[in-house]
Amino acid sequence: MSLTLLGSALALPTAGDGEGFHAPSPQEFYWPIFGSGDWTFTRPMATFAISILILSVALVALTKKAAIVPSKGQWLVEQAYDFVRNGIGRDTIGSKDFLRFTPLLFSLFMCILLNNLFGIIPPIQYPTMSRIGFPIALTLIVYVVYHIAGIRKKGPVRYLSEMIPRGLPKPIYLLIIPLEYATYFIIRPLTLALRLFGNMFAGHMLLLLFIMGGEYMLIHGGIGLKITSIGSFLMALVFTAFEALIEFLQAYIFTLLAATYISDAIHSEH
Amino acid sequence: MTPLERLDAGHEPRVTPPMWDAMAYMLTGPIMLGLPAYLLDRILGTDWLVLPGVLIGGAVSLYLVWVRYGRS
Repeated sequence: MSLTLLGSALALPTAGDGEGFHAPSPQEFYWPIFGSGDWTFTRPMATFAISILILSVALVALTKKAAIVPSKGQWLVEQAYDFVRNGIGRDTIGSKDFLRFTPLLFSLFMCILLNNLFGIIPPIQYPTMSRIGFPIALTLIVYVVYHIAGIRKKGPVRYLSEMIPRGLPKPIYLLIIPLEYATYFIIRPLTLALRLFGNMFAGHMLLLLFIMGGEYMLIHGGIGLKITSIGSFLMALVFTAFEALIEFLQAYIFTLLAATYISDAIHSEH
Repeated sequence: MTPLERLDAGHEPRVTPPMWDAMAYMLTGPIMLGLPAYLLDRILGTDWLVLPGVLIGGAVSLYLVWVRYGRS
């Protein structure tokens, strides 16, 4: 809402032109390519398919001729794999169980990272995860994995009972038990998906605003606005760098939380 | 034991979720107590239940965050 306000404030000086500035809206994220209705093939679907293609080809090609003294590409893949395997998997899930989950964590991390980075890579410039369906799908995978891993490890009864913290005053449990289950089964996956979606959506919106605003001021504005458009483009540049950081961070956080949920499900606190 | 296995050994699992996850707890209370309170308001035709519902939910959420992250 504040974005719309900001957008209309930008448009005010040239409102006499007749058309005025159109602030970016959630509409900018809907890009049908072909088809219609529920079965429309959209731009994020295409970018997601491209990301899977790039990842599969690149990862296979770069690790095919693995050597003791690695090539640049192999070194890069090894760094990323090392980061997820040791930094996220081993440190979170622990020595005993982490290897089974490493493929999942690595796939999640690379997939989210590349799709997020698409937000600032020309000519794609569209973060796939800014469409809510994609984070939900990834979260569903994590959701099924950690619940099943927990149930298989502990059995359903112990798994459910260990979700409740021990050693609290008895009457409090009346309130806490439903809340804990709601957290585990509804709110946690919800926040996992929404965090990724919200960060990508808002970040892309900011970039759109600065670039579209700058373009509008440069082309349609008077001399004063033409000069101020430099500021807008500069901000777009700064925020592009900032986005790169956020995009990496969100891929990391999503993977780390997935690992923590798995660890939480298969280990006991006591 | 291979050298790789030796490197991998001895890493304890981390069971407490990182602080970002406190977000989930902070939302649970107000939603789980605020929503029924809101529905009750609709059914009974009153308008004062939802506020205490959300506030008590928030308080319970804070307590849960303390239980999970503050005790150890």
